[in-house]
Amino acid sequence: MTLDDINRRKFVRNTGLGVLAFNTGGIPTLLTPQQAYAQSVKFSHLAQADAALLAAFADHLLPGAAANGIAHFVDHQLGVDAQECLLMCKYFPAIRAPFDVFYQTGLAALRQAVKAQYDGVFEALSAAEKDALTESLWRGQVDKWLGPPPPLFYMMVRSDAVDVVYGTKDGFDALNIPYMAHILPQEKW
Amino acid sequence: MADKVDVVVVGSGAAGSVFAATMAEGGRRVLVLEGGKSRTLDDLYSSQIWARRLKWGAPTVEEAGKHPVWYNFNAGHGYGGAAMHHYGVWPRYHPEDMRSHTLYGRALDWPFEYDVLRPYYDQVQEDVGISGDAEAEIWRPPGAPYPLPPIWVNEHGQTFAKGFEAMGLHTSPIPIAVLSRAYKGRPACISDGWCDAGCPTGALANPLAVYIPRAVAAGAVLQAESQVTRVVMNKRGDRAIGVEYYAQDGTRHVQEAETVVLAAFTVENPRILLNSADSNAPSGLANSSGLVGRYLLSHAAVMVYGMFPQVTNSFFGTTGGQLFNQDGYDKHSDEGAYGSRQWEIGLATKPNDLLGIAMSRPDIYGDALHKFMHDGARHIGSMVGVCEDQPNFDNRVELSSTKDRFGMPQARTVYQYSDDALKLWEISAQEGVAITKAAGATDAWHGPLGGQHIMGGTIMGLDPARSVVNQFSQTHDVGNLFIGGGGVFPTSSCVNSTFTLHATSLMSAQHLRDHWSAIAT
Repeated sequence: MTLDDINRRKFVRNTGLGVLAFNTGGIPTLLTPQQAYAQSVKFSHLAQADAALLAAFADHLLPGAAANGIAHFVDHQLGVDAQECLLMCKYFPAIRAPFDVFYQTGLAALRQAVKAQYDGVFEALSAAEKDALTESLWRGQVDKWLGPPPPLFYMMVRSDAVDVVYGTKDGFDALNIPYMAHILPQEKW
Repeated sequence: MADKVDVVVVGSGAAGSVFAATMAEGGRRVLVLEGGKSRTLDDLYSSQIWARRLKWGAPTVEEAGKHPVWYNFNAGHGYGGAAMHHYGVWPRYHPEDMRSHTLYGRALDWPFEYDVLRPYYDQVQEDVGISGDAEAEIWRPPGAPYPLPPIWVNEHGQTFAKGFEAMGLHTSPIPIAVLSRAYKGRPACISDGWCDAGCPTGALANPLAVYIPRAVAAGAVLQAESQVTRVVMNKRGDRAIGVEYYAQDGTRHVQEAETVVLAAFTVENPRILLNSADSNAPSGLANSSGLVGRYLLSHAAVMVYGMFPQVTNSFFGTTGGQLFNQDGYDKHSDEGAYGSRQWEIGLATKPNDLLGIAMSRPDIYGDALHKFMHDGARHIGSMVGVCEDQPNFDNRVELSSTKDRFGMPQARTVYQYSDDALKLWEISAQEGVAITKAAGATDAWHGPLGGQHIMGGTIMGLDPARSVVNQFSQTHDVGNLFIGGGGVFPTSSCVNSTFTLHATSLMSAQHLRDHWSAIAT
């Protein structure tokens, strides 16, 4: 299905359910971030290495985030203007549009910090090492950090992870709570 | 240039929609210019992720000072403005909020007393349909009873009520602009907890549900994606003759009007006035007092959470809460701090977003976060304490050196809470945790200092040297220029601002309508 085949209301409805328009070979195609991940849709804004690091870090913060397509979700939203953007970072006074700067500098700082502390890459760290690094990010006590405030970066990636894992109807189902989308009235007023 | 209109309203939110409806129903030609996008109730969808589209996104508002006001979270964009994602908690200001200086030698006085505003409160609540129990709300100032009975209270509210009772504190049903019964053609709330994602059923009194339809039915025209940059003045500089705005394609337009109403939210109104500086008003329009942008106000808010052994089912309900407490309203009820505070109890809570389950404990991650989410899905409870801040000249909106894509300077806010507000916040945080434990929570905690509601910046008063607008929100300097919204409030109280800004806007709009000849010509 392409965007030409759907009306705006349906698009909005699908967006609410976690479906976004991804560029697949030049054709906008409606996919969930999870589907985009499974189909290895090419990233438009994040470098491949940044996307991989984002997915790995998010998956440590909330296991399942990678397979639920966090990197594709963030990548898609970085291509949307600030008003339409669906990333929670838009709320935060310390994070100004364009938001790709926040993610790129945060990921670069994370990569650099891992290199400085462990002489390696995040993906190869042990679980204990990832925990130690995560704790230091949350406490804002990470050495060699040259990005946005570490706790802020941690919280935003964690929020994105929660969005893709628990923020859609599938996520509510996983928590065994009803999604309860609005029931449209039978009559307009 | 489009045809001249009687009234051009800048902004389609809570205040703008009241002005538009009142003036259009009064027979005036009304054009509403909205900087954001067009939107109908059909465009809303139940999703915390999707709902972020309702918040402010651009142009950037820079936030400086010790404490941010959380502009992007509090403001809105597009038809309906911030009220599209507001929670509908609608208590009234108390009489003492409007006479703080006279009664206590603190803060500022309003240019009228509560009794002046009371009939407008009553009219607005009749228009929109507020649910509540006036008698149970023992702190409530005089006013007509609510037209609708209270909203549903489930296990969530019932659990917290026991905690308040154990602490010797009172609770009442929350006064909320959400329909507990069908009302004036709008359906009752279905308690699905998606209030801040907009409410397409129309059960919550956002502008698209009440005043915008009335305005449009009376002939008002809404025009989206039209960002107003200046008020255009006559050569003498004593009358507004219209507004300058830019369309999305970057084209500049001038809309002529007999009267101008700026209702573009607390920060945008001063931004437009300051950007309208000219040789007649070199420091900004309507700024002979030097107070445009000054006395910015916000509420210091604290979220309190508990994990309960019993089921709370907090995914049900209304985002603004189910129950209410104002035992701490007296300005001197807390030792060491001046000001009011209140509790909104039993907030509908979804898994994600800023006020969701996950963000209540941002320190938890990994498998522990999964467990926390599963525990919280049916067992978490929450409430929010809201604390008054004191007006401070140094808290302000000013123009940034950075410009937006239309060449207009961005807004910059500078804010710091008063010591009183911070003390009230601390007291609330401690009290809230104690209440939550008394309610039976196995774990109780509070969140960080947060900013809720934004007011001030174009305050009202009787003295033109000490205020920007008069009691009718009419600028002292320019008789046919009005300000709509919470920006005219000289004090913040501790209550949610939307009901009161509806009331002040209705009073102003009716004054404009009833004195049209004297004001517009």
